[in-house]
Amino acid sequence: MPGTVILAGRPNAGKSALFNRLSGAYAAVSNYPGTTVEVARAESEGREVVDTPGMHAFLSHTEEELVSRRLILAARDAVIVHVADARNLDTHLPLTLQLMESGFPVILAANMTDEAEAAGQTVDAAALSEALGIPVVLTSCVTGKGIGELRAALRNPPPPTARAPMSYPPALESAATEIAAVLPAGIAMAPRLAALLILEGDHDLLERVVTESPSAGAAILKARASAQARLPQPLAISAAVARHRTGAALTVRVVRRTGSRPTRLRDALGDLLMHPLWGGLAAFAVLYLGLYLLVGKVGSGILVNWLENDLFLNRFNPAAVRLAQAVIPWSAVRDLLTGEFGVFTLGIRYAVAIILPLVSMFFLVFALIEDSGYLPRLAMLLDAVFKKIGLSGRAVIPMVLGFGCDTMATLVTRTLSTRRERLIATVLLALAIPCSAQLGVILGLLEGHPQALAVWFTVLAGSFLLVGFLGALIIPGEASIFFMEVPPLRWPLPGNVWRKTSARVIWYMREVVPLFIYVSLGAWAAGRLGVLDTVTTAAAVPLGWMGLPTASAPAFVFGFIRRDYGAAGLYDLHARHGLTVMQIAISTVVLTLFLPCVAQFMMMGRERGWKTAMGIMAFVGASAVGAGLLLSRVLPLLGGASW
Amino acid sequence: MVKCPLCGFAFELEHAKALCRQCALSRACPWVCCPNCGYSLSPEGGEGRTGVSASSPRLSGMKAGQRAVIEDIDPTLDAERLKLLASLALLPGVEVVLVRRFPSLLVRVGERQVAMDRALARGIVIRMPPREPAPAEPAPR
Repeated sequence: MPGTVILAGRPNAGKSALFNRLSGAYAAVSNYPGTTVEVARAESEGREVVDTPGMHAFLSHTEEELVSRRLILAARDAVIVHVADARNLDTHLPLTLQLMESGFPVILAANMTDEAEAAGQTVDAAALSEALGIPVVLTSCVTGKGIGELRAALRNPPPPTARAPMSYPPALESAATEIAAVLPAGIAMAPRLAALLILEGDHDLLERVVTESPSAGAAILKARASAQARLPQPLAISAAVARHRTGAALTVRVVRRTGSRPTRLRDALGDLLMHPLWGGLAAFAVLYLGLYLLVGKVGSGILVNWLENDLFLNRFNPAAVRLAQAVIPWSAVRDLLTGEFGVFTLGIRYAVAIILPLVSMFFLVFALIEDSGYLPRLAMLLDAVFKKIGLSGRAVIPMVLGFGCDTMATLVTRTLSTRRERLIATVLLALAIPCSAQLGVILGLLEGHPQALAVWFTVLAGSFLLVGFLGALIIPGEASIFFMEVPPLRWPLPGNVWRKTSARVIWYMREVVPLFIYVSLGAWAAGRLGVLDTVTTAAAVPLGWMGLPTASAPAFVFGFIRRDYGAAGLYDLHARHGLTVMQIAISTVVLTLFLPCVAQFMMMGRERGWKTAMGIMAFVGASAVGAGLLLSRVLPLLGGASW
Repeated sequence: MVKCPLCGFAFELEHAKALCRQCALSRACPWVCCPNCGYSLSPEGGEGRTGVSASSPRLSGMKAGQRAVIEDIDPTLDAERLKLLASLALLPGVEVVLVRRFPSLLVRVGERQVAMDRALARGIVIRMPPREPAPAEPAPR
């Protein structure tokens, strides 16, 4: 029995939802193309199931498409489940036809049948299966329909197919045959598929062939040129047209329209969100409701206040200190657990009382936004603005996700089409996009100080645009292309929102709690050795230049290790000692711009290279300090001392 | 002298052929590229690959609510954009409705909606249907 089950398909076809249904594992599901950027693996009935990033066609455009293609081509013993959107079979079937030439057994899962039926479309699975010559299963991940049938089909997979039931124009067919005959054996790919990909302009593949066998290279170029001479359109278009016509003809045969599609309130709403005026107002409403009310008021104002002040500072911490004094005779150990930087009194308190409620509220808001299909609409609205800073509307998605977690967002920059865009987006994420924990704490600090909030917002938005604009001028490379499929608006599913929020909160806390404990341990050890005083004294000097108190030094020193830890430290400092409004303005700006956390740095190194990551770190650090110094000189002139 | 059918640039065939020899594909390539815009034309003096010209109507020039059929893809488009249009299934013969022009173009294709920038839409050559769409169709949203 073949081993791996690979779920492949176009973006936003529901691969991750099907993956979750099949394996019971959890991969994030959203309503926008490009949610999955990495391969997820899980087990189902003793076999490995692999969820892949979406790909439009075998000829890849972005990095995450390349991930899927490589995975499929490297597989040895696999069954491919092509997950297609039942509402748009004509657009999805061309990929089925391509996958059928890859030399693997293929099963077609026509997914989202619930939505197709709501739109008055039914798919005749038997007719489609007969026309294609592969098993076809109608599935819905919302209702669970067809999952059992798909499992059964996987237990008894079809034989691999060598050819799809279609033909390309004769010029392409004969060129493909010629090329397939001369391909070197080392290509490790079905020869006909490889030949077609080369004809369609797959330069990487052509280069690989030419290096392995220069004589084949010459024959291939000749075959390609003679095919082009006989066809009116570029070969990539001719081949795509042939597949698309086959797909469209099949769709007409197997899809029955039982009724006209009812116009729904959400269609009108979905369209309104892309209107320049109403969509803009809606963006502010989302910002106000989501960020300010839910995270700022409920998360920071109510939850953090209660957990931090009522529970930890007034009850748990004093109790822990008393308990430690009663049972632990050694002052060093007492200090370690319940001292100034104690593992419990500081590490656990920061994680549970400050970070947990904020991050939970944030991820809840995010899950709602992601599920609704709002993000592609925002991308469409902001494309023109983002073009000015060297990005395209596609970058809106990683930027917005950055407000949740910059590390995750840095990974998502894979969905951008050019190196230039990916680099600019990575720099902006590191510099000007605060992550949820940081933002939550900072919004809490700024609450009730409109002047400081205005300064913070202006400086952040200003540096985002300025750095993006300058980056676009300096960084060479081709202009970015904007394209995005805009899915229909959906009401978020409570179950999915809950699963996604809890999965992310658990993931975040797992990461943050041990780190906070290590930081406490490190601070305790450094304090014992007297190093901490040296470092904080040193850090206090530039902070002094910015007009910030010496007591804020630990927050910045630890912020170097974890941004959220630093932010929590600043919040704590303000709660206990009080900062002036000007100090709040300066410190929040510096801390937001300040160096990304270790996890984000690692991700930057992995995705963009270590040299680039180091360069970004140096730039971001210098910008943060520079902005702080500048503000400390400018704000007094604006009357900041009397705010 | 030859005149490029796409951009109207007049040039010597021999000059263009010399430029083409620098291209890696030139040995087996039957075409000559216009030195100005890169459009491929036959050295025998015939028409180029397609009937696309600079004045052909483009998707980027459509009005909101208009319906059209994609006639062709501009062959001078770079490889990356060609690949992209093919993968988005914006191909000759496909019917499109321009839903919105601003802030970006929004195109409806069957049940799908695709947003794109003007530069990409300029690469799509369209043909307006000779008559008004049938009244049974829902009004453009």
